[in-house]
Amino acid sequence: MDELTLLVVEGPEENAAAETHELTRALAECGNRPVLSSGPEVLAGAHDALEPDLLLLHASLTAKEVALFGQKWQHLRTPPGVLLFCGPDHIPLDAHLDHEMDFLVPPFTPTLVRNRLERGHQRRRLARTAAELDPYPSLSLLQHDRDLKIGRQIQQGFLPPELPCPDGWEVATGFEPAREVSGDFYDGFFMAGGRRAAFLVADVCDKGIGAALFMALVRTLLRFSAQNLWAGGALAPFLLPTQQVFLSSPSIGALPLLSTVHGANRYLTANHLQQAYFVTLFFCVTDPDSGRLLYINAGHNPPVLLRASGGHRLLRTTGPAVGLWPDAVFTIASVTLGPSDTLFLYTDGVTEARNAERELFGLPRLVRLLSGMSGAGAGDMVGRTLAEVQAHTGRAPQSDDITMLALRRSR
Amino acid sequence: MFQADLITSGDTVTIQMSGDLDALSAPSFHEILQQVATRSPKKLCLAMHGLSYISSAGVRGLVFARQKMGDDMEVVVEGANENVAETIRMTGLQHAITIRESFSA
Repeated sequence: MDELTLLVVEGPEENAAAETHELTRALAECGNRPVLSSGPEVLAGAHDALEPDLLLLHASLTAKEVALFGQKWQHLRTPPGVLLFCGPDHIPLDAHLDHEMDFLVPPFTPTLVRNRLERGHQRRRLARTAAELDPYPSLSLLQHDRDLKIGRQIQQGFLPPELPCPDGWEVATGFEPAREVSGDFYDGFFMAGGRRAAFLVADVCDKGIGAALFMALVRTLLRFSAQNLWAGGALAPFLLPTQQVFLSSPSIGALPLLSTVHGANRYLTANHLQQAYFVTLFFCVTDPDSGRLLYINAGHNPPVLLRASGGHRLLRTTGPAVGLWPDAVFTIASVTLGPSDTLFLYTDGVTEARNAERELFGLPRLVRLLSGMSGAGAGDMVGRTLAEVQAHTGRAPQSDDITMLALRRSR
Repeated sequence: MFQADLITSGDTVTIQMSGDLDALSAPSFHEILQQVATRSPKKLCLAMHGLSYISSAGVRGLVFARQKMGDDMEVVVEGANENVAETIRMTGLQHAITIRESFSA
């Protein structure tokens, strides 16, 4: 790294001089010759002719002074980065914590200091690139970062810490979030006093904080309805559409499943149609003893049922995506998992993962991959699929969340 | 790189689309739909011959199109490749939008 022009500004605190001296000594050992100054000198314009790469400001300077110093060289093509430093007592940093500043704290060893300078310098060059692309960089970048953080927290906060795992079954999940927040989620819970286990994987269309909020709403609606409709089953018939098609006679779990999806669709279309968000989902209720599984596939990528004897079946849609039409009809279908059969649920982040040449991973490849490991455990299947998808993506950025859930009946 | 060109012919507005319609390009597609809505055409053709990929954000754009244009206006998707058509169909949108394989004005 070339020598940087550094301006080190001492603070008013009693120990500030000694701490500043310690830092400048480390900077000198890294081959830099920093310019030393104080707050009043900088304010008086003593260094206005300087074009610093980095301002190193003692944390005992006030937040207002730090902001003023940071603004002073904003007219430069590449304004300086700002790094706060302090002594072993970190208390002065508290006043700056809300301002998202970078810090440098003791020990000021040459290696650590050099590393921080290099990282700060790289970040500054990136900021300049962004500034050249965007006329209002600081504001939009900060807002974007903030939105990403909020959206990600919402999404992560709604994933269950653990899923139900009935005796004789294996359940495994994989969730690899993309940088840009989107609205994937999975869920699982027991129903009917543990006699049924429900699992679902869902994907809210689009990305951003709006999709994350919508995901939170949908997840809450589905879980609350499914669990409470079971307890208060008397409500269920009122939530059912007048024309409902069963592919077989209704059985335990069918009414809560249907009422939940239908109720969520009715709520979303009555209250949120204008936002044009929708959610695709695969929602199933399993009987752990018999292996029978009732499901609704609402516009979602078809899960892959892998038979222990070889062969597979795709569980295709039985209704449209949820949130599009008030009068949508969702049909329940059923399938039975035999011993060592596996059901693999996923979102489009798997099949639509793209490599640098923009080629999709694709459903045929996923089916081939899964068919090749029909004897594998649920966790192994999820892990190997994720590895394959990531190998396909290579260095291309991951554009969507990758969400997977595998259910295996082990006996 | 998504591109959309607007062609008006009588009561029909055609949007010729190419590239990828994903979360990145969906906002510009929404803007174009706003422009189309102000012209109140009787038919909107989404010519997707050059569209290589549509994500769920892109399908959301189609939902917007259906909502913005009102029930009286026909929305037709033409020339979509197999993947794009399958993504639209899977969502169930074919109940509200006509999907045709080849283009006819």
